[in-house]
Amino acid sequence: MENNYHFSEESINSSISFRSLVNATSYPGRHFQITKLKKPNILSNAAATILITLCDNESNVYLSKDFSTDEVKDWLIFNTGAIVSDKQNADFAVGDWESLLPLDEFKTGVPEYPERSATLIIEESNYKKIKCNINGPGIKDKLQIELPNPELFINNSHLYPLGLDFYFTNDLDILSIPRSTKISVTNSEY
Amino acid sequence: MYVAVKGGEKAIDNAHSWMSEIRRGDPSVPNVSLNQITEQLTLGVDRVMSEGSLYDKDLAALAIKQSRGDLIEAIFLLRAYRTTLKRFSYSKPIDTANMLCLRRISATFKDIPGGQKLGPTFDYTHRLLDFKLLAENETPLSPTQQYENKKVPHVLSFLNQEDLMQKEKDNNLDPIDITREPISFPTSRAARLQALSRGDEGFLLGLAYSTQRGYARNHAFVGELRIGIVEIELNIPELGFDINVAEIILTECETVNQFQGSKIEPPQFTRGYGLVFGQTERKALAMALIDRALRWKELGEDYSGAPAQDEEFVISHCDNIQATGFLEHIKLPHYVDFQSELELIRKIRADAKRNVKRL
Amino acid sequence: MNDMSKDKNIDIQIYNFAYLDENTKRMIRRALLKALCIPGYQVPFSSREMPMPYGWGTGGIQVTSACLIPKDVLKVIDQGADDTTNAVSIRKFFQKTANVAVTEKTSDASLIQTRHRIPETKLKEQQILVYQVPIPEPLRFLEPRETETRKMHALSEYGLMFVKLYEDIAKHGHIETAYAYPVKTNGNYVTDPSPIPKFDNPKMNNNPAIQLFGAGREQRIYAIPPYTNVKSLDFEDYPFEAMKANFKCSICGSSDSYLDEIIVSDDGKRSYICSDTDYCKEQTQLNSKEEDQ
Ligand SMILES: [Zn+2]
Repeated sequence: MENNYHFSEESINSSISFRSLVNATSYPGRHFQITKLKKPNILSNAAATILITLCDNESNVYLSKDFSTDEVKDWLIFNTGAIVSDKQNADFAVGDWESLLPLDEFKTGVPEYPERSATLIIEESNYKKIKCNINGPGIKDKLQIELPNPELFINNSHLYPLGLDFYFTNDLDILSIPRSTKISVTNSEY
Repeated sequence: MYVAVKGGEKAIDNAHSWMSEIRRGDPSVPNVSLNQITEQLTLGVDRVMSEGSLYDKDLAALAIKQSRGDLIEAIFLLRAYRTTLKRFSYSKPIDTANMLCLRRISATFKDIPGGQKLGPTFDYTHRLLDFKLLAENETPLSPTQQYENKKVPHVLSFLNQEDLMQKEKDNNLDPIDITREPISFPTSRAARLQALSRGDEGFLLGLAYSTQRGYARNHAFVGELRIGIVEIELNIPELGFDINVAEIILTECETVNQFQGSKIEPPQFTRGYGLVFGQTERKALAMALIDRALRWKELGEDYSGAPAQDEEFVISHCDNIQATGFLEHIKLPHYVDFQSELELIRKIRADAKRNVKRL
Repeated sequence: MNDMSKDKNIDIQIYNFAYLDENTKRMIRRALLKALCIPGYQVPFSSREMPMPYGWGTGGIQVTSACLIPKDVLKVIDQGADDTTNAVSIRKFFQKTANVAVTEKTSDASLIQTRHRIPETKLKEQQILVYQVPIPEPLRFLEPRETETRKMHALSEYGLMFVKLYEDIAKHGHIETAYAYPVKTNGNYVTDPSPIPKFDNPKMNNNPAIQLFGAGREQRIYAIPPYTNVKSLDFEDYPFEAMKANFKCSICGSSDSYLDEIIVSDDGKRSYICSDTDYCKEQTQLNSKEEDQ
């Protein structure tokens, strides 16, 4: 076959990033890695990658407190064309755990269209985490992970098939907890 | 031993090269040029542009040539091409009141401001084969007249003045773009009109005809049919003004339909609307009739169960590219599903036999 | 006009990696991730016209295009075979538009696009299986209206489906569905497994690989994540039964793989061979190794 392939760098990078997201979403509770990119300091590489890979001018993005800076907004709009929105209309939301609370203002979909719901990108913070067992689709038997406010994730999974989908991001690392994941708290300290 | 058929790749290559040879036909006959197609098979080009949803005469002509005159195949080529094109911007809405009409007729009023204009039409021709066209160099000329370059108002606007025509209300919503968003039912009139405008002419024709024969009859009069040139304008925010980026030919049809009135609306006329790329008047007429039939719910009319009233039925089946693909896919191998049916029917027959024996 | 003649020679360069433009991919990718979050639920997406006809795998092709990465090793099968014409055509398309490596070996493939079969060889974690789906709605032949079937899914109202299956049993003593046999995914949505023979249904359950489904003409994407409970619909007294021809493959001798029936002589004599050509080859090799020893 003739050797005249000139694929755009954008299309190559986005394909690799997306594959990490497919893997992360398919195997909840496991850590997957993405690659570095140019982004505002406050955003992790992983969070920035999710936004760049998935958002376009049809996406409403909510930026919580510390993340709602001109730098982040300019970067987001320049790279994706996304619309900066409020919580209620957000398709995607970015922030640390505390700043995204309460969760009940985000849309969780409707019975006919459960996918019309928000995806939350939660940046690493010092917020207290609690050991949980998780199981459900994508998880072989069960896994143990740490989650902030597990009761909120338990509530979310009770809405199934409605609900929110979560990505935890930390530098290059990404971990997903979709609405289909069932959570139970492991020890009594909680 | 029997070996399953191999060499699918070679078979495909050979089939395609044979097809190319056949497409060219007898090499002693001159190759048809794209100019010949755009100039002499204009209505075919127009149909391909409208159902292909891409206004480009040269590309449509190329598609017709490549498809050996199979217009649905040509439409498919155009659709597949347009889908990868980058979108720069949405144009401003076209105001068809500004159309330079090549043809404009009304079946509802004998005399209308701006006048009736027959234009280039097959209407009133006697459908006799014209053997003069066999002559190679025939160049007919028609009498010319000074073109009056002025706006002609829509005929239906005169009915509007008397409040006899239902007013079309602007809902101030951006219409969905059915090529960017999946249609969900129930859908909006804007989405329906888009689907109909690129829908298959034959399918629309049959459905529109069915309404005339009593399957959701809606008494349509052609209030106005106009074909002409309109300008496409683009707003460039950086420049701060609109620029004219293209001129295209459109066919627009507005029907006037009886309406008995309902709890919410007084008796008045209502409108069916058709708007299609190119000179495509059969399609525009059919579209207007179907549009009107589909409006039963909003007008509070009865649902008679007619196919033309059934939004899901009409919109899900009017696209000939979807239809032909799925229809033709049954040519693909189905060994596996057929095999499982074979097994099942054998099992059922064996069981039945056993039961009979037991009796 | 002059633009076109230029394009003719650069057939390949004008396309993005794996054909689709970035905007289209983003839209498909969002749908795919939501589909993974809601196993078995059909996410509407704005399917594009592809350079092959609707009904010929355009849904699968769009999903593959959105998922493919340069270092993928792609396998394409139709009816279980790598050399069926449409499989050849789709594989060629991605070789040309994505320049990815291809294979016929199930175990070497990182992404497999399939029509009508699940490979016999067990799939592994992070392998992706993309199904081409003609009619994604399992309730469609019982209720043609999308507005109605969508409501049924929303309410988990699947009585109609069970009535149909039950009527089959009452009338014929069997459930009259041999392929595209409906399943329940993650205990929630009734899902169409695409027209695979029901022999393949059990492979969907608790599979370590990622199963993605694309229906282009019908504009739907759905998914079965790894390790997900997938149960073929049945009744306690009429449990689901996978089914295949009760013969051995006349090439490799396998008795546990799904078989195609072929007519080998003018008087209609039948023979059976594996539908999965890669599996058949592997088994044949294993056999000859054993003979050598
Ligand atoms: Zn075999």
